[in-house]
Amino acid sequence: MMNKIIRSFALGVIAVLVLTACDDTGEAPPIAENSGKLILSSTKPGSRLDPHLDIQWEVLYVLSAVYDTLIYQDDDNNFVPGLAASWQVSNGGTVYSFQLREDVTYHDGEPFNAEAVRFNFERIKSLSSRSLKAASLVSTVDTVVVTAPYTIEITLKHPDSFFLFNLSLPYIAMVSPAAVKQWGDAYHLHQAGTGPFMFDEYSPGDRYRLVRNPDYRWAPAFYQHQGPAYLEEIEWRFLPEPSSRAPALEAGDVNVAFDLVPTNLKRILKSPRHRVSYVHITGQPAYWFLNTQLAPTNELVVRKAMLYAADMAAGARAITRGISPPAHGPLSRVTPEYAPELDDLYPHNPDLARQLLVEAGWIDSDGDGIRDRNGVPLRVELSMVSWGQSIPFSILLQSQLREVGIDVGLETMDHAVQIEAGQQGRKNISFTGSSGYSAADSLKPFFHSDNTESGFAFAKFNDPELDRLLDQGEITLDDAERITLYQTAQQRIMDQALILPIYDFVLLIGVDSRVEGLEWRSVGLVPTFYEMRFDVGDR
Amino acid sequence: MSSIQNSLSLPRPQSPARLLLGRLLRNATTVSAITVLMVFALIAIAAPVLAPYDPYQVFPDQALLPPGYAHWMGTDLLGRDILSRVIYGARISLLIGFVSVSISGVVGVVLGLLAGYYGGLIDNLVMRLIDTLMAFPGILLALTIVALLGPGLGNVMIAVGVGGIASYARLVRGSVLSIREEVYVEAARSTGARDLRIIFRHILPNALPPVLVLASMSYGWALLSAAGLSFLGLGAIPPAAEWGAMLSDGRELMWDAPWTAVFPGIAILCIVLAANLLGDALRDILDPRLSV
Amino acid sequence: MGRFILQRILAAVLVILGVITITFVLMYMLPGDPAASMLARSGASGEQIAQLRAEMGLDRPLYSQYFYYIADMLSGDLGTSLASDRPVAVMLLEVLPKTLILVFVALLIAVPVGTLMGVTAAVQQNTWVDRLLVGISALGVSIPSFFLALIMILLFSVTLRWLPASGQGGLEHLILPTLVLAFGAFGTVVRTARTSMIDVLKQDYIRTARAKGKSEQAILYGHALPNALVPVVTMIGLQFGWLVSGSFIVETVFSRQGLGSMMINAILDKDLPLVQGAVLCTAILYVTLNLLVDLTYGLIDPRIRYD
Repeated sequence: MMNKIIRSFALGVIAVLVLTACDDTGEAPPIAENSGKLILSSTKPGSRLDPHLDIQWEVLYVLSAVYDTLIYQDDDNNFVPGLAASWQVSNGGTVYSFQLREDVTYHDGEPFNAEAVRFNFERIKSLSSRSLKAASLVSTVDTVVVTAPYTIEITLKHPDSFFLFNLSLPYIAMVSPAAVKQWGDAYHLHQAGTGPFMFDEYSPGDRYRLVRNPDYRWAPAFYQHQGPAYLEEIEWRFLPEPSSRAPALEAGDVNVAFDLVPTNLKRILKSPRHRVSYVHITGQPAYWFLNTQLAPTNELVVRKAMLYAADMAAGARAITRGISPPAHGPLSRVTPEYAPELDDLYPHNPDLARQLLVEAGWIDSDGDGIRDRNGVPLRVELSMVSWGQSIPFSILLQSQLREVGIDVGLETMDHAVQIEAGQQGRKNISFTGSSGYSAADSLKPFFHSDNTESGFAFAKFNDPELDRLLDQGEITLDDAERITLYQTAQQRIMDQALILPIYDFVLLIGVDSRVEGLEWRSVGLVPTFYEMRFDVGDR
Repeated sequence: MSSIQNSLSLPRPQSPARLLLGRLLRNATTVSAITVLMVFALIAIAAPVLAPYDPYQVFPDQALLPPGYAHWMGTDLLGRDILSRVIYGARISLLIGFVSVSISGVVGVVLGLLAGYYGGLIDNLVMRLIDTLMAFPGILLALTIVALLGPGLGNVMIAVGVGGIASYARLVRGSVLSIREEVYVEAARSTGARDLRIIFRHILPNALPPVLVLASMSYGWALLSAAGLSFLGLGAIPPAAEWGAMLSDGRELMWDAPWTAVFPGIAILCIVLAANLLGDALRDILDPRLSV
Repeated sequence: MGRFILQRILAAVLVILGVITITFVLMYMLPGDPAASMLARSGASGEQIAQLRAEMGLDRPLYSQYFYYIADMLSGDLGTSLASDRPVAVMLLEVLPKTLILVFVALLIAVPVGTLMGVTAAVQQNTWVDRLLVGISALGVSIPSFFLALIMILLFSVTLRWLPASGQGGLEHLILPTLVLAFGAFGTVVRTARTSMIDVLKQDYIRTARAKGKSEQAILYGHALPNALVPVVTMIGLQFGWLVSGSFIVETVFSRQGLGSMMINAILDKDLPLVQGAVLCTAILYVTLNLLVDLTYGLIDPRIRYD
C-alpha cells in the first residue's frame, strides 16, 4: 500500500520536472523590440542608498542614472558641462562661479536652479559626520551664494585641485529640495533627481526600480544622442553571495552582473551570449600598511627586506587569475598621478632580502628557520580581513617571508576590529584598499601625520616632508605641477617602505552580449545608462 | 543486608560491551559505518606518512590544477595539494567532533542529573538556563562565543560544545525523571545510601545509553556546525587545513574548479554519515522498545 | 490547567528577558567600534570618528544604554539601525515574513514527505525499502547544507536552466532554497516517524485489533497512524527552531533576504540595535512556538501537566 503511494508520488514529481523542462527552449528570455527593461545585479544590498549619506560603490553605479552632477568628465578626463553650462575660477582658485542650465526640471516637476544647488550643499554640510563620503569631498567649501536665479558662487577655504573632480562624482548629486523637505529622513525611499531615469521603487534589500524620464533633454554633449534615454526601465537586484553572480548571469536572471569573481569566469567567457568587461579602478589599490612604530617593522631595513622577499606578481596571477595587475605603490596604475618609476623599485629578490637582514644583525642562530637577534625572533603580526582576497594573499606572504627567515603570525579580524587594531598600532601588517578614488582622497587620509594617531594612517609615519607634499598637491591647480608633487610623495612613501603593495582593483562585469552602449565613466564605476539599449537584431 | 543488595543487581552473564559489539556487528550497514570511521581515524593518525605533499606549502604557479597524476585531487587557489589537505583535515575534524561532544556531554549530563534528581528549585533554575540557551539561535550563540574568544579551533570547540549542552541536559533530565521512580532506586534510598552514590551508581548507568546514541548523532552535528562556522570565517585560522574552511574557500571556486569543494565536502559527508548511521544502530540496539 | 498555562507563559517571558540581557552584555563586550567601522572606507579623520560615536550615543555607560533600551522596547521602539538609519522594528517586519515563508514551505515539504517515508519504513521494517529510506534520511542530516545548495544550483540553474539561481520573487525562486532546507529537516522527521510507528506497532492494542480480525489497512490508518503522529507533531516545534538557524546559510547562498542573513550582517557590522532586535525576534518566535507545543502536548497527554 505504502509502496503504491511512494511510487505515485515519485511519478508525480518526475512529471512536474519534465513539464517544467519542456517549457525551456534552451535560449535566453526574449526581449521585445525597442526594449525594454534592463536587469542588473549588484552586491550586498544597502538598506539605504542616499548619495549624500552613503559611500558604497552602488551610489556610483546605481544612482548615477537618477541624478546629474554639475560637471562631468569626458573620456580624456577633461571637465565638461553637466548641469552647469559654464564656469569661471578666480581669486587664485578659491572662487568658483557656475552658470547653470535653465531648462532643467526635477522628476517631481520642481525647477532646477541656483537655489537648489545651494540647498544641496547645505544638506551635505548639515549631515556632517553622518555623511560618509560626500561631506569629505566638499570639505573645502566655505560659502555657497546665489548671485542670480541661475548663477551660483562657491568660495573655498583654500585652493582645491580636486574640487571639480569631486563635483563630477554622483556623491555630489543634485537632489530635489522639495522632495527632501517633504520626506526628510525617508528621502532615500522617494528620491527625485534630474537624471535620465526616475526613481520608481525600492523594496529594501530586494530591488531598485528606475523608469525612464520622458522629459530628459540635458544630457552632456559627449553622448551620441540627446533627448530621453533608450531603455524604458532599469531594475537592480542584489546578489551578496559572490558565487551566485555568474550563474545568475548565465541563467538569464540578469543582463549585467557586477563584481564577478575571477574564478567563476570560465563558462561566461566561453558563452557566445555574454562578454566580460574589465574595469580598472582609480585610486587606492590593495596593499598592506607596515607599522613603523612597532618592532620589528620599525626598522627600515626589515621593511625593505619584506618588499624584496614578496612576489605579489605571482600572487596576482594565481589568486586573481591574472586579471588584476600587481600594484607597486599607494596609487593604482590607472590613476593619473601614478608614478611609473615605482614599477622597478622593489623587484622580487629574496637573496637581497636575506642579505639586508644579515647586515642588520638578523641571523638564524638556532637553526629553526627563523632569524633572531639578541635572543629575539624576527616575527611580525599580520591582520587579515574577509574581503579583497586578503586571506589568500596573506597566506602567500607568510610563505614567502618564511623563506627569508621572517615568521608571520596571521589573525583574521572583522572589519571594525581590524580598524581598531590599526589605529592602536597593535599589528605590524594591516590590509587595506579601495577607499579612495582620486590621489587626494587616496593619500592624505592614509599617510598624513594628522591621521597617524587616531585616523586611518596605519603606517604611523610622521614626516613633515610628506605632509608638505600632500598638502601642496591638494591646492595646486596646475596639472603638471600637481602630478609631480604626488609622484614625489609616492616615491617618498615607497622609499620609506611604508606599505607593501599587492594588486590594483579590477572590477569584473559580466554583460549580456545584446546590451549595447555600455561604457564606464568616472572612476571606472559609472555606467552610461543613458546610451544603453538592447540590440535585438540578428544573433 | 548484602544478600538483598546482591539480589537487586541484575544477573550479568556476559559483559555488556561484548553484547553490544556482537549485536552491532550483525548489521551490514553498521559494519560499514564503523569501518569508515576507523579508516578516517587511521588516516588522521598516519597523516604525515600518507600525505604526498606538505599541506601548507604554497605553489602559486600551480594554482587550480584539476585532478591529475601529480595531484590526485587537484590543487587549490594557492597551489596547495588538496589530497594532502584532506588527509590532514581528518585530524582536525575528528578532534573537533570529539572535544565538542565531550564538552556538551559532560556538562549536559551533569546538569541533567542535577535537575532531574533534585527537582524543585534546582530543576527550575537549570531548565530555565537551558531554555535560555536554546532560545539563542545556534549560529548567534556560536558566533558570539567565537567573536568574544577569537577565532581558532579551541574556541570553535567550546562554542559548538556549549551549543550542544541543551540536548544532553534535556535528555538526561527526562531519563532521570523516570528512572528516579524505579524500584531499585527506591530501595537504595530506603537503605540510606547517599544521594551522590545513588546518582552515580544507579541512575547514571541507566541514563547513559540514550546519551551514547545522542553522542554519536551529535558528533555529526558538531562537525557540521564547525564547518558552518568556518564557512563564516570564524573557524580554523588560515592556513589550517580544515574541511569546513576548505569548503568555504571552495564556494567561489565551485564553477571553475569544483574539485576544491567537492572532495572536502565528500569527506565531511562520509564521516558525518558514518557517525549518524552508527548512532542509529546504537539506538536500535539500546532502546529496549525496539527489540524485534 | 490555568496555573500550568500561567507558569509556562511566565517562564517564557523570563527566558526572553534573559536572552535580551545576555545579548546586550555580549555585544557590548565584543571588540570593535561601530563608528570606525562605518567610516572605514571614507578616509575620515580621528576627530570625525569620535564625533560619530558621540552622535550614535555610544558614549553613555552600559547600564544607561540598557535601561533606555528596555523602556523603549516596551513601547514598541526597538531603536534605529546604526548602519542604515532605519527603525529596527520596520526592518525586522520586512524581513521576517520572508524567512517564515521559507521555513514554513520547507516544513510543508519535509513533514508530509518525511512522515510518509518514516511510516513506510516502519511498516516495512528491515526490508530493502526500510534500509533505503533510512539511508536517504541519514544522508539528509549528514550533508552540509551549503554543499547541497551549491550542487543544486549547479545542476538545476546552470546546467539544466530550469530554475533561477538566486533572489526572491516568484514561486520558482522558492523551490531550490526550500528543497535544500527541507532535505536537512526531513531526515529527522523520517527517523522520528519511523521510531514512533515501530513503537506503536508493538503496542498491545494493535495486537488486540489484529486478533479481533481487523484488516491491516484499518489498523494502520485507524489506530497506528494517529498515535504515531503525536511525537512527530511535537518534533515540528523543535524542527522550526533548527530550520530558522539553517535558513541563514540557505539565504546566503541563494542571495535571499531574511532574518538570518540580516542578523549575521548586523553582527559583522557591529550594528547593536539591529542585532538586539533580531535576537529578540528569534527568541520570541522560538519561545512562543515551544510554548504552543508544550501546551498542546499538555492537552494531549494529561500526565505531563502536573510536572
